Amino acid sequence: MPERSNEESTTKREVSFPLIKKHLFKIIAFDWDGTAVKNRSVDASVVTETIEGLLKFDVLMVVVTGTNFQNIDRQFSRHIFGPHKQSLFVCANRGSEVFGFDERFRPVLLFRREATEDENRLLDKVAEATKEAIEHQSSATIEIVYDRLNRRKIDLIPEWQNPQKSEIGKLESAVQDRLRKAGFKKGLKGAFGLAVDDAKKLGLTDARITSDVKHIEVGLTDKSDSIRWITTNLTKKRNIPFTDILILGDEFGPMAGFEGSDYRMYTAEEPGISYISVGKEPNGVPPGVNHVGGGPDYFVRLMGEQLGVHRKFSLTEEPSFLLVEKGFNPLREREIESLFTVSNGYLGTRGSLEEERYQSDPATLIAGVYCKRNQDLGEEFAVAPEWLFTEVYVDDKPLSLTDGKILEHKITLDMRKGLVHRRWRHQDESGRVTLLTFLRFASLADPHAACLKINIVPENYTGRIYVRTGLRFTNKSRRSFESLRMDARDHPNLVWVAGKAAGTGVTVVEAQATTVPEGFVAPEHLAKNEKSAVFDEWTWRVNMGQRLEIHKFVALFTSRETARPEDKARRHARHLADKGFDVMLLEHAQEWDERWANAYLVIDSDTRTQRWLNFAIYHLISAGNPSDEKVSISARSLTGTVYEGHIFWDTEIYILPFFSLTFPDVARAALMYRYHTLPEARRKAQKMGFKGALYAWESASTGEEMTPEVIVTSNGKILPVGSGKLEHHISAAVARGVWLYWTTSRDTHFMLEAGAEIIFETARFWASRVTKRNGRYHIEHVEGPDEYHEDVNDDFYTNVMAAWNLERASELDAHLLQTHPGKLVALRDKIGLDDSEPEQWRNISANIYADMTRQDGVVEQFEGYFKLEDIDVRDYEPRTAPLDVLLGHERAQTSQVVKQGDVVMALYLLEDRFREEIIRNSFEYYDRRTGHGSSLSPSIYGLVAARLGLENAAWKYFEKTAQIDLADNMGNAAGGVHIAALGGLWQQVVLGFGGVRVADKGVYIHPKLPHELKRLDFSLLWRGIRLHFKVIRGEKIDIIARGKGGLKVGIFGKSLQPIIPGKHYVALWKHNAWSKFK
Amino acid sequence: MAKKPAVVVPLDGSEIALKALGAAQAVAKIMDAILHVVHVAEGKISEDRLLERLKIDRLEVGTCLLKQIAGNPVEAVLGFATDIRAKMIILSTHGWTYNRAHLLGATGTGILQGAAIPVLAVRPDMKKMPHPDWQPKKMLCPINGSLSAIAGMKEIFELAGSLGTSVDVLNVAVHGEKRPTGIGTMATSEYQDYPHRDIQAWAEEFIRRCCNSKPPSVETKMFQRAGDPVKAILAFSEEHKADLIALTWQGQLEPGRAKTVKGLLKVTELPVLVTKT
Repeated sequence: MPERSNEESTTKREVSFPLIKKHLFKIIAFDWDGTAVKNRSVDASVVTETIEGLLKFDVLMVVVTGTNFQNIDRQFSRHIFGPHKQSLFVCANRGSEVFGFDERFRPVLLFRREATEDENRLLDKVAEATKEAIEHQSSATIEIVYDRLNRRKIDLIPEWQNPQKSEIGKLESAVQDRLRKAGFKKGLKGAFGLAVDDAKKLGLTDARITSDVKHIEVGLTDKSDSIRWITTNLTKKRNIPFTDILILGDEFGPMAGFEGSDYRMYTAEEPGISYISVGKEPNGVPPGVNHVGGGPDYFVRLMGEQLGVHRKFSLTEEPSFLLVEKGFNPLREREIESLFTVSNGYLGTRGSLEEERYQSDPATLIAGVYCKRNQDLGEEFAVAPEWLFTEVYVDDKPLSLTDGKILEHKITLDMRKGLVHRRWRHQDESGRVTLLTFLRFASLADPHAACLKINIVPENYTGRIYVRTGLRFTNKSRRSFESLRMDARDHPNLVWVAGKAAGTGVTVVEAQATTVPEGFVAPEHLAKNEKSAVFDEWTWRVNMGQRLEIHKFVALFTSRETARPEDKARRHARHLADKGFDVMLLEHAQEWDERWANAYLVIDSDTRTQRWLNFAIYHLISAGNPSDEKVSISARSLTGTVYEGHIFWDTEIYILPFFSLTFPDVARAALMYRYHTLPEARRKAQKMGFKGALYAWESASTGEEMTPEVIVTSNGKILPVGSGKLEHHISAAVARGVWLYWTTSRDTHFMLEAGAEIIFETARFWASRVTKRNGRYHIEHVEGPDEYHEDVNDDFYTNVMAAWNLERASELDAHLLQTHPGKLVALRDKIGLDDSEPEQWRNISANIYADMTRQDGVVEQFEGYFKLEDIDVRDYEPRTAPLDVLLGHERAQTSQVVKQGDVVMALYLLEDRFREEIIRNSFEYYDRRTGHGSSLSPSIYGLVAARLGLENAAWKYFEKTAQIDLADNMGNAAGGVHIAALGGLWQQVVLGFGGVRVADKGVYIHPKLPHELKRLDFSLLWRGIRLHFKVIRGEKIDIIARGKGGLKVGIFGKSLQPIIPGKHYVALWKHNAWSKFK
Repeated sequence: MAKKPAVVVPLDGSEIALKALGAAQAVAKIMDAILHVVHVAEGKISEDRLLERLKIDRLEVGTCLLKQIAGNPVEAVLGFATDIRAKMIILSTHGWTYNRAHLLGATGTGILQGAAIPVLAVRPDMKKMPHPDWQPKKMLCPINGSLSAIAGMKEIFELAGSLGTSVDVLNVAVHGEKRPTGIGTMATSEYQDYPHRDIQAWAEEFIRRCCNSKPPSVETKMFQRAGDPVKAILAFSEEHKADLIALTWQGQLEPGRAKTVKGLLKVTELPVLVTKT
């Protein structure tokens, strides 16, 4: 490789050792002077910071130097503080000493080669004999440096102090000149030879004789001793394979005819170690050493690259992306499991402990897989076999959080990368301390894959450790599945389980392959089949400090996507194992990177508030499945079973707006679910005597109504459940979901193949649902979103949404007649749509009774509402339960107390149809009467309050919504996260604080940030164009669009303006208003 | 052979205190425990004289053990119960004088507050005074979801198991009080999006939190009421035919504390079993 100057800009060079960007090295040993730094007097702060970064990722960093420890400490190690310093070692005095650091960051001598008195005398003698010989043969004056541990330095050119490494050529010439001019014709090599001979003659066995051109060094040790210490004490003792070691130097090759000072760091005895030289190496490098050059600057660059790799494989550093639970609180265990779910939209696995406890409620749920345990029960989520199942035994005793002592226990959800990391230090009754870490994910890159990495370190004992990790049928999964099958094979290693979901016959297969990375301790392996579990059992006899690692790969397939799920799962598990954990993790993290790039929501506020938003977006992203058109997102997504995986109106109104504006493929797939369940919606309508499609209030795989008929209330009464029979507004909600997706995507293919049919059939339902009286159309005997009032007439929300649904259908019919007449005809034929129906829809829409606004601008929620007992909810603060519990069911029904947004929801969804005065007055009226007994409620109130500029109310509701799952005083999240509330939170921020409105012609924005948010950055996707918004409160809105095509953006209340992708536009806040974009 | 458990009933010789004997005999029988009748007085007297003083018929009390101790009544009873590792103290709320205006007599107050073990209290004018053949079937346990209350539930379930009763857990929603706070608190959920699903889920989670390490071994149901806690508990106990009411508490009767315990002791017609958290 050609010589490169250290001054050459290293930033322009490609990294010429590719492995540094891909492989996680666990030990990095490096020469100091000339490799990490130019010399021992320069400022080493940059390289120190980089090295410290690696220490924080538990990389063992080892300085291998010829100088003494104090020199290194002064320039480098004393500037490092923190527990990570215990991963730093200094091998000093050319193989004679090793220093580590204790928990108080103080240096600790770990090893010193103690020379005997005879050895010291011999060293003196050899040095003096060589000096005498040279001086005898010439007039050269030679000096000896005695005060070096286990070596003596014969100085051949005392007048040149501290030559730089870069001057090596000049130095060599100067030394040769000096010796030859003085009459020592044999020069440098001759002097070296004398030292070798003298050592032999005088009986200094195994003398280590080296030269740095200025000196001949005679010593008892050299850098190979340092490397030997590393391989014995760090590598073998910690079970770190040679392939995870990297050694760097600058003088591996010969210098001035002598072996380079780093040559002894290279050994062919330990194959697998990587070597890099950053030096000039004018005479080349030994085979096996990668010469990259570039000097210390390039060393820093290489370490930076490696740091980047560790960052990729480790948890995110930004705290707002981390949810951390320290300790172990059995009371909260089930809540924690929900919050810490890992999911990819196809499968979700609760954040349960690997070694299930009584407190655990583990579940892996698969979208679209339900069971039906008996004919009287509806479909419910089938709980798949638990793939996390892992038990660790130390000398036959299982480690458990409830036995022994917990020295440390911490679970971290990395919301940026979709990882759950668990760290557990356990002390058993005998005092044995074991460190266990687990890292798991459900791959976003490969939905059928889930991975777990298990690390175990026996900290203070030697013994036998075995790990059982496998697939287990839990109690819940045994109830969900029948025809259970299991198998465990050693060769080739594979264990798998299969079962058929009771009542629905869906076959689910999970297959597992485990691997153990290469190391010094070879485990025994058995595949076993026991009771309800199959597992791999890995057994080691380990010494203290030896690291054990297992990589577990699980493939999950069902008969929903393949006729042969067993074959697919087994093959795929092996494929995942071949790919390896690191590759799986990188691919998964990359997918998460891309999702976040499109869905970020950044505020300039405190970490806690940003974490709330990140939590919402994390779970929303986790819930999305763009590939399966026969599933949707259930009300607790894949995080829990409390709603049995049923789909409610929550999806279209609360969750899909996020996806329509960030990941439209997910919205499309979820809406296709509604298309595929149209037959059941038609059946329900028909059964109730209506036409068109009435969607089930709660639906599962088929779209059939899953709402139970009765409920046993908390006070023991049996009451009928009205929702399934009366909450018809769900059909309008589905239509709205279609319309919003269509507006934001203009996915004509979807509209023609599915969306139009949904809109027509739901319109038909409304047309059959209304009752005509006195020239107006009324909708009687319904229940609106406010479930405290069942069986009412002319619920405002239902009426206006029905009118909207009908209007959209009629408009769509006219539009398709213009744009796709052939397709329209085909659709009309398919569903038997009469020519007169669209006109009928138009007429009904225009004449639906919605004149329910009082003179004071307050809308009446339903017929007779204002006559009910007026209750101000503030009179019931504080309280320990929802208002309907405090008041009682009957009183709630006969009062104006409202469970959740009904009128307010309508005024939000159909904002453009109402004057601000009506929205404001109605909001203020219902705000005092709404008990928010549903988690769906606060976000909508917050959104409307934000748009109205009611800052205090908006912020109050924002905080309330954000903490529905994250507060810890209700056990609220135990059955799963409230994904609809999280979707509502996103809407409140983007559509409320951000003031975004989407319309047919473009996107409006009108931010009204509360004083708690100084800034709001977010991204939306509009018809294939990515819009990036940056809002600074009271100052400006920056937008830039990326993509092809035209679009229009405007300040809400002003006209839309054309925006050219790639150009930067700004609107300013002036005179209490937003200017147009420029 | 396992040692039999012990229960203690303190008697001072008054008819009022004697009202607790029936309950004590019943509990001893159900738990297959030895009943210790404790009398605190100076000067030792013969067993016959003691029986006479306490107004007890030897045939009626069967194999109970009589114990006479000198000293301060509260300390003596509590000390004795500790020494013999008694499982429960059963007592009448009052002794020689019963004034309904006073919640408890001096000795009753001291024992209730000082006891580290469960105390079953009967009010001398209760209409449903337990007799020696009393067999409670249903225990009503009101709980507000606070951490201390949850912590006490383990013992409640064990007691229910010992007494052979099922447990109705009752949470009373209160207007005018803030929700209990603390990590792991299990107050009523503020949100019931879909009550036909949420109520069951909440009840299951509630019970699970009360039983940290294993499911309750007794039949358990969860209910909710609203309003004034004492009234709600009393109404519920009547409606659901509870046989006794069990409460966890912190053992302090100063003004402003233990409102529910005080309220119930004052008016309930059922024995009240209190355990300290």
